[in-house]
Amino acid sequence: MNNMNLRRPNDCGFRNGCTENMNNRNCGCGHNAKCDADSSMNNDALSGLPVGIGYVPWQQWCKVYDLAKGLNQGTIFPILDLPFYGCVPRNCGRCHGGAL
Amino acid sequence: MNQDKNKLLLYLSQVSFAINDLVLFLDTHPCDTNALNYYQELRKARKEALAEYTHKYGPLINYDVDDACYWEWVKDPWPWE
Repeated sequence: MNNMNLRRPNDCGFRNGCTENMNNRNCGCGHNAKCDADSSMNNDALSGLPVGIGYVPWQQWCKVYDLAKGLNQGTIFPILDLPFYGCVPRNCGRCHGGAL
Repeated sequence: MNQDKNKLLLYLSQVSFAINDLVLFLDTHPCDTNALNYYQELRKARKEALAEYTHKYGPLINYDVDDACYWEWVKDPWPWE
């Protein structure tokens, strides 16, 4: 049986079930653990879904802020109360803001 | 502007904002009972606060002008004055 999509918990996450631990050593199966794109490509929670389409997880009801805090924060939902975090690619000069 | 009026205006802003945010959630979760219950709670609270404001300080919005003889809306100071 072709186990291309089978990933055992402790393997390096590379699709073909490489069993080396990715944290310390080069696992030798060809993927590059230090490359963001590579590791995110191989640990994709949405794998199997059509590409090219944006996916937003379904918001669940939760305990909401009290009225005063809701107006102050700009949302009554703590889960949506996110800091504005202008993203700047890592190693991109010394501009402030977050980093990818 | 006296303290009470200020407090009431702030409360109206807060409760109205919460309803607006809740409406966004309900638009995509029309069957969520928690959200529906909370909406009814806030709607009642806002209605009472608006009635209190109108009674004490005159109409806040020009849908609530009661005076049949004179267009009270132009007489009273603007809510922020």
